[in-house]
Amino acid sequence: MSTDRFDDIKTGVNTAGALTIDFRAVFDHLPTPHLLMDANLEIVEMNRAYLQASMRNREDLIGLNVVAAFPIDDESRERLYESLMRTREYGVVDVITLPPHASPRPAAIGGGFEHRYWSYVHTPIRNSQGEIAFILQQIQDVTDFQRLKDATFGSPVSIEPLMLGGDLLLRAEAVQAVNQTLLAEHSHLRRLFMQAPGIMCVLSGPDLVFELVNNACLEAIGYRDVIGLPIREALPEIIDQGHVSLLETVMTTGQPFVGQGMRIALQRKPDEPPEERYFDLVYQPITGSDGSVSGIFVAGVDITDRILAQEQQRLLMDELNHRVKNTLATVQAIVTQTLRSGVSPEQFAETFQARLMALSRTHNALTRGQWQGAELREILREEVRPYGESRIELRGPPVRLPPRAALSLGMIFHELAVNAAKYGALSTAQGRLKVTWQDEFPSDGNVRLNIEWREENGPPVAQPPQRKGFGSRLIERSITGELNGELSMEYGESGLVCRFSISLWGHSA
Amino acid sequence: MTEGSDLSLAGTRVLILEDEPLVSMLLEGLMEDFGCVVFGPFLRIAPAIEFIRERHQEIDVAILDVNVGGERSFAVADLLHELGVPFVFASGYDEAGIAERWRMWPNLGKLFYEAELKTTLSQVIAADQRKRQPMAQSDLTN
Repeated sequence: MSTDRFDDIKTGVNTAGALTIDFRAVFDHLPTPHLLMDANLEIVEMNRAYLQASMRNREDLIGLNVVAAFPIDDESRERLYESLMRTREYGVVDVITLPPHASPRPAAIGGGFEHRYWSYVHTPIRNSQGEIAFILQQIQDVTDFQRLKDATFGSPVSIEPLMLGGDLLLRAEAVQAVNQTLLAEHSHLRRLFMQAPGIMCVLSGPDLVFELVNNACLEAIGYRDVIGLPIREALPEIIDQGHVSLLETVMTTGQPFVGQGMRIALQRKPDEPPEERYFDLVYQPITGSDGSVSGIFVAGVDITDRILAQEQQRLLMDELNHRVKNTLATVQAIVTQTLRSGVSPEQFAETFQARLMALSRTHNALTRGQWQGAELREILREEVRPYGESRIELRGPPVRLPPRAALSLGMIFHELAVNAAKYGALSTAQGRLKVTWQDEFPSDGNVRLNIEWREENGPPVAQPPQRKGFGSRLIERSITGELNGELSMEYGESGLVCRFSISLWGHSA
Repeated sequence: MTEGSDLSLAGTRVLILEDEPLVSMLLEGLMEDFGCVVFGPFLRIAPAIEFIRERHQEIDVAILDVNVGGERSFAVADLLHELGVPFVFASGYDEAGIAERWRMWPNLGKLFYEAELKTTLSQVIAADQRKRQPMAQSDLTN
């Protein structure tokens, strides 16, 4: 350290040979006002410049609480105290500027009082234990800055010769530190804004110009470059959907708008039709201190998935309702038809229950296939199994039946099996049943299924009865009608041969 | 015509359009019990339309399922209405599944009482006769 900057300050060499400087004198010579207080804010020392500026005596000030020592208004006193507390509690340099207050004018320039602006820098000073033992208060008269500012912005106050003394560098550093904190906070908030899962954007001015747009919002609008563009230009497709006029209403009335499940079709890709999405939205006016609306903050959540799920659920409910009604109608038809054959209550119960169980088995098979379809072999086996698997042969490739075909074929196989067990091949120990099938794929894209039900070694079959029973009417109507197929029934020497050919997937399941 | 047990459909000619085999058998059986003459049951829309075009004058009333072989039967309803043939729907769909213009039309649903079926058919036939009468009179005055 050089000593020649302190030419009127005593310097010397101590007994240990080190250079000594009279820092008290240095302090006293500092051109800007400095005051030292202890941790209780009681004044310990101040320099000459401080005494000159405050026009007080050293003896009057020592031991006073710094906050109470000077005639300033309550608000300034409170802010001064808060600044000192920040320095004492957090060990940081704190800078404040207080509003002007009346300071006595030196008698040499006419006496009286004048309004002056003061800036305060509070610096913590730690003892060897690291505790804050003192606070150094440096005061800067910034009245000239203030007047310069007023002059620049047209204030009538005339400019006095400027005295830009003081350690502006320290102040600049402190201000820079604050700015850096603000900058860090700003970029942190910006990150939050950009990464927020909800849609956010800021529209400003009467033309609703996009000022800020976050990532979720960009995603929703298909990453179009909208910053700086009025909304009518940026998102022309939403004009006719009423959203722009809604935003304009918010601008003119200053009333926020809250909408739920709002449909917006957005042009997410240039060559494709607008994509329909649903949002919960808030259009919040941005209001200045004078009450005027300068823009709109838009926040929203894309609830398209939820809306689609609700729609899907409604369709499922409708489908279920339709299916249950169809099933009940089928049961009603089975009851009525079973009764019409003029059977005894016992026979009715047996036949009806067997038909109901056949329907239920097919339902089970379809449920296992999630109602997309069921395997032909499975449907068939369920119906014939009770009559002894060893004498029944089922042969054919895997065939996936659509639900309605599965339900019909389930009932058909049930009626055929019951008939075989009562009158046909399955009514005797020697009788056998052979069911074979093939699928064909004609060029029309349909699937044709040919099935042969052949009973062998059964009792001779009489010619078909004059009045057709429930079973044969059901088979005929299902095959030729619902399944769009052909049916032939031969009553041969050793049993019934029933051949039918149906189309699958040819009509709606 | 009074309503109740003395209401008779004997001899009434009924067209049935219903693709579900069991339900078509049920309707056909019930109609036969009422003493009706049944046209069909038709299991497809195209043959039903063909039949109606040719012989609509013989049909007193029609019963239409809505979903027939994957197609909606509203074209059949439109044709019957145009030709002045009374009809009812017998559909498992509720209102949402029925075309708007036919939403207020009688719908028996898929499940019904015999008496209900009989009453509804009698009502649409009677309503149609009332509708036709003034027209017949005005024809005479001309």
